[in-house]
Amino acid sequence: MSRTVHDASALEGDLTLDADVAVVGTGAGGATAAEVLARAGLRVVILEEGAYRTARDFTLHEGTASETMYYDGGSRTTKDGAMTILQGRTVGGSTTVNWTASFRVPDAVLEHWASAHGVQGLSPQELAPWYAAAERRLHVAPWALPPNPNNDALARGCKALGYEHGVIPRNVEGCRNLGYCGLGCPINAKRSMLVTSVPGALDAGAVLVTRCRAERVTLRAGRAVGVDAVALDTRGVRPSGRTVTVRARAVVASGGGINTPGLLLRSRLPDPHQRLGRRSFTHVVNSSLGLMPEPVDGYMGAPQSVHCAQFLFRDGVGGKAGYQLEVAPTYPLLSMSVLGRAGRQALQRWGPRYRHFQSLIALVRDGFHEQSPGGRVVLRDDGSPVLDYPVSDYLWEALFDAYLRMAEIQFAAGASEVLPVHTDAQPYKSWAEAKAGIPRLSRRPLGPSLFSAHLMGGCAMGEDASTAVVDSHGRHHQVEGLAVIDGSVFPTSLGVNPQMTIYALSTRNATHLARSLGGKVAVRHDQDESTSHPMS
Amino acid sequence: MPEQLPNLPTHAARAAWRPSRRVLLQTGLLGALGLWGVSVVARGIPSAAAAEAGAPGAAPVADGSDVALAFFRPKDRPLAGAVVEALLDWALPPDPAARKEAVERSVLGADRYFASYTPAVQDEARQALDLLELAPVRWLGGLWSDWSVAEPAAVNRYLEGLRRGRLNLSRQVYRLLEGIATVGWYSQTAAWPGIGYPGPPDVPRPTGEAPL
Repeated sequence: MSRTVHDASALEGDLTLDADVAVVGTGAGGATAAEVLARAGLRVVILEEGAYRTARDFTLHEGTASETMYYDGGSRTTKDGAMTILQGRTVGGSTTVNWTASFRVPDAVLEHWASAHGVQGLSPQELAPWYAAAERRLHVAPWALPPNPNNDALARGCKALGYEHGVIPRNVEGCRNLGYCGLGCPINAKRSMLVTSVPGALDAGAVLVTRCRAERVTLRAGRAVGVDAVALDTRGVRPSGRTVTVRARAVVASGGGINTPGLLLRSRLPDPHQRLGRRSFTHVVNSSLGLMPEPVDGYMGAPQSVHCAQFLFRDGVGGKAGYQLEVAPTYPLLSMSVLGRAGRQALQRWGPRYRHFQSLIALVRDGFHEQSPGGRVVLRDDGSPVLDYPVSDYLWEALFDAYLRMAEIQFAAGASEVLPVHTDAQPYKSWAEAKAGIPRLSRRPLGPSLFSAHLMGGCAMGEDASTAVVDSHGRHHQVEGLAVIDGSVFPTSLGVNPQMTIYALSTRNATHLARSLGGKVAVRHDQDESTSHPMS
Repeated sequence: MPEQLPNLPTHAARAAWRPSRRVLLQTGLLGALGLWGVSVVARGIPSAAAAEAGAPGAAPVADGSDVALAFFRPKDRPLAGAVVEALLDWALPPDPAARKEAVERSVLGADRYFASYTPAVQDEARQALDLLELAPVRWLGGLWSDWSVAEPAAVNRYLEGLRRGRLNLSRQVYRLLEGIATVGWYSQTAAWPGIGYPGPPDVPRPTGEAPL
C-alpha cells in the first residue's frame, strides 16, 4: 500500500488538505491517536515539525543526530537557562530517540489524580487493559540480558547499601544491545512510533506532512475546524514562506508538554480560568559522574536496564519530594559538554578518563504537593513557546538528597572519585568527603546542572473546568472539536518515564474520539469505558 | 559607552597585572553587569549589526575560505576559535597547522549545531556574541586582548569569571561558549581517540527508497 508523505520544505506552493481529523505531532500521543483514528476509517492529516528520518539515516554519529532529531540540538532550555530539555523533533517524536524505559505509572499516582484533580475513569483497573494492549504492541518486557557496566554499577551500589532496585522493561524486539537508542535505532529493534503507529496510520490512509509547524488551531463559531501551519526550511527551523492549511471536523493537539500549550496559547482559545500552560511539569533530573577503576563504556549496551525506586515515594505521594534513580548513557558529545560545565580543569582532568565514566541520574517527581506547582509555558515575542520553571525549595531538597544518594551508591559500587554535576563542585575522593561537601554546594540557578527528558502537564485533565483545560478524555472544556492527546494532559508528573502512560491513555482517548466522530473501532479494551462514558 | 566604564589599568599596568581569584570573581561579576547593562542599551542594535555582517536566515555568507556559515557571522570566528582553543588546548593536536584546522572544524561543527536552534534562541545567542565582541565588555571581564590574538590562558581566566559569575546571565553565557567548544570538537571523529571513544559500531542499516 502506498503511503502519502509530504515534505513541506520541498513545497513549491501552498498546500491545503481536507480531513476528518488534523493531528499535530507524531510522538507517543500523536502517532497513537492518528493510527487509532485512521484505522477507524477516518481521514487523518498529521503535521510534524521534524523531518522523516528512518533507520537508513541513523549513522549513530551524535552530532548529526543531535542537530537533526532533537529540539535545539538537545539543548532546549527553560526560560532562565537552568534546565536543559532533551526532546525529539523528528517523525516519531521523542520515542525515536528515547532510551526505551517502559514503565506503568504507580497506582498511587492514578489514585491521586482521581482524588485531587477530578480525573474520572482512569483508575489502575480501568487503565490496565490499555497498558496491556500497548505493551503487547510495543513488545515491552523486562530486559533479559545482563545490564551493561553503567547499569550494573547502580545495581551493585544499591545491593551493597540495601536499596531496592529492579530491572527496567524495554520496548524492543530483536535488540542487539548496541546502546545507541538515543541516536535512533539503526536496526529498527526499538518499537518506537517510527516503526509502529506512524506506518500503521499511513497504511490506513493517513497523510503525513513533515517539516511543518502548526501555528494555530482555527475556529469557526467556537468550534475547532482545522489548523494553520507554516512549511519550514530543510533544517526544519525557519519558515520557508509556504503555508499548509488543514480543514477538518476535529483537531487533536499532540505536540507534547511545551508545544501543545504553545499551540493553544497562540490560538487564543477561551481560557476563562487561566489554566492553559500552568502546572507544566518535568521530572527534574540532576546527575552524578563516577570514575570507575575499569572502563565502563557507558555508550554501549542497553542504556537503561536498572532502576532504583527506593526514594520515589518514601513519605507517600503528598509527602517530601521523591525521585527515581536511573543511569544515563555516556555518549561523547553529551558527556563532554556536561563535563565542560565544571570548567576547563574538569575537562582536562576527567576527559582522558572518559571510558571510565559512570553516570547516575535522579528523576525528581513534581506536582504532588502545594509547594510543587511546576512551571508555566509562555510565549516569546515571536510566538514560540518557552517553559518558565523556577525550582522550589521543596524540589531542591530532593535534588540535594539525590546528589548524596548517587555519590553514596557510586562509591559503594567502587568509584574512585565522584563529581556531582554542578558548577561549583570538585571531585570527591570518598563518601565521607562527598557527604560533607555536597550540602555546601549552591542552589542558585545554573549552579546545579539540571536536565529533563520528560514533559508533562500544561493542559491538565480533570472534570472541573475551573481547574482543568481538558476533561478525562482529553476533550477541551471550552472548544468543541478539539482534543489534547499527549503527556500535556497529565495533572502531575508521573515519577517514572512517561512513554507507556502516554500510549495507554492516548489509545483510550483516541478510541473515544474516533467513536464520537462516527469511526468504526474494532476490538478495543474499553469494557469499563462503555459503562462510564456511553457513546452517542 | 566609555564614560560608563570604571578606570582601566594603563597599558604598562595591564602587562604586570596578575589578578587574584578574588579579583577575577569581581571582574566576572563586573563583566556580567556590563553585559546586562549593554544588553539593555543595545537592544535593537544587534539586528542592525547582523544585517551588515550577514543576517540570520539570509543567504549563507562566505568568509573567504569558501565555507558557508549558517549561524555564526564571519566576525564571530575569532571569538569562537579562541574559546575552542582555550577550553580544549589539552585535547587539540599540538602541531600548529593541525591545531588550526581542528579549531576551524570545531567552529563549523558548532555552527551547524546552533543553526538547528529555534530562531528566537538563535537570536538570543547572537545577541550574546555581539555583546562579548564589544571591547568594553571584554575589558570589564578582564580580557584586554582582542579575541583574535588573546592568549588561551587569558581566555580561560575570562571564562572562569563568567562560569562562576554571580548573575544568571553570566553563567548562561558561559554555557553558550562552553557549548561552542565541546559540541564543536566532540562532534568530530578526530576528537574521539583523545578520550578513547571508539566511535559507533558499524551496523548494516536498511537501504532503499521506502520510508521504512
